[in-house]
Amino acid sequence: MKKLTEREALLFAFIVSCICLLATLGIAFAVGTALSGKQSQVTESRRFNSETVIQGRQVFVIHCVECHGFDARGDEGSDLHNLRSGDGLIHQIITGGIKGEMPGYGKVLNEADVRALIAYLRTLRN
Amino acid sequence: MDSIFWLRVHGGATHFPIALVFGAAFFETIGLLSSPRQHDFRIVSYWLLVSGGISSFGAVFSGLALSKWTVSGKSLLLQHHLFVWPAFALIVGLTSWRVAVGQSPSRRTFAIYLSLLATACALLAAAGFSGGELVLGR
Repeated sequence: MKKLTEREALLFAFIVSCICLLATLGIAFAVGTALSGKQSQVTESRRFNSETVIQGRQVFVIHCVECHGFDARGDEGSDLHNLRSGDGLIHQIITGGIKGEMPGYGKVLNEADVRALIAYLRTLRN
Repeated sequence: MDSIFWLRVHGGATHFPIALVFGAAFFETIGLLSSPRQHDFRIVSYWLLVSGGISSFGAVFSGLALSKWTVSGKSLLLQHHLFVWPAFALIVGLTSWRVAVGQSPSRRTFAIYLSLLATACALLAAAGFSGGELVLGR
């Protein structure tokens, strides 16, 4: 391969860098858009084991800490310790949201993530 | 494949570009200080950087899969991404430049390259720290 001059090499590197960054962001955007419309159909209930709780914590950190805080003690959102509502209602709130208060995550999270998040929330006790 | 799978893959994959790019910067610096063996150290640094550049794709794509293909996000995830994207672009750019220009850049451009490599290391460290906080913190 013929060696490039330094100026040509700089231009080459800049173009490659831009292409890779834009391609990565483009792929992420395309896949993210495609996945957001796809609802996972998980019908079988899943036992809440420690892995599920860890997964729930990840989901919580990625999607919920903004409003509920890292310790889930509430910030803009409410304190999530000692929830007394049933799993069904919590599931509905997570996926459908609360009008004017909380966005729904039904299109962002799949069924496994929602169940894991509920499992994690159940571990939050005073 | 669920979040746990991608969490493990991302947790493993991110260490490759971090270690390799830091290694490249280290050997480049050692090469500057050791003039008789500078050429050898530069070759080692060159291949470390190339490996780091290639492995950065694995780290980035596993991270995207983990975050459900979110390129920005909120809170700590946003902070993590604000470090990740410039670091990724810089590493790919530096690798491409190094491959294109070969082993004999001029002193001036090599100094610029070294300072950009140090910047990439700083961005990688910040991205790694915020990523660790995101997964393991509090």
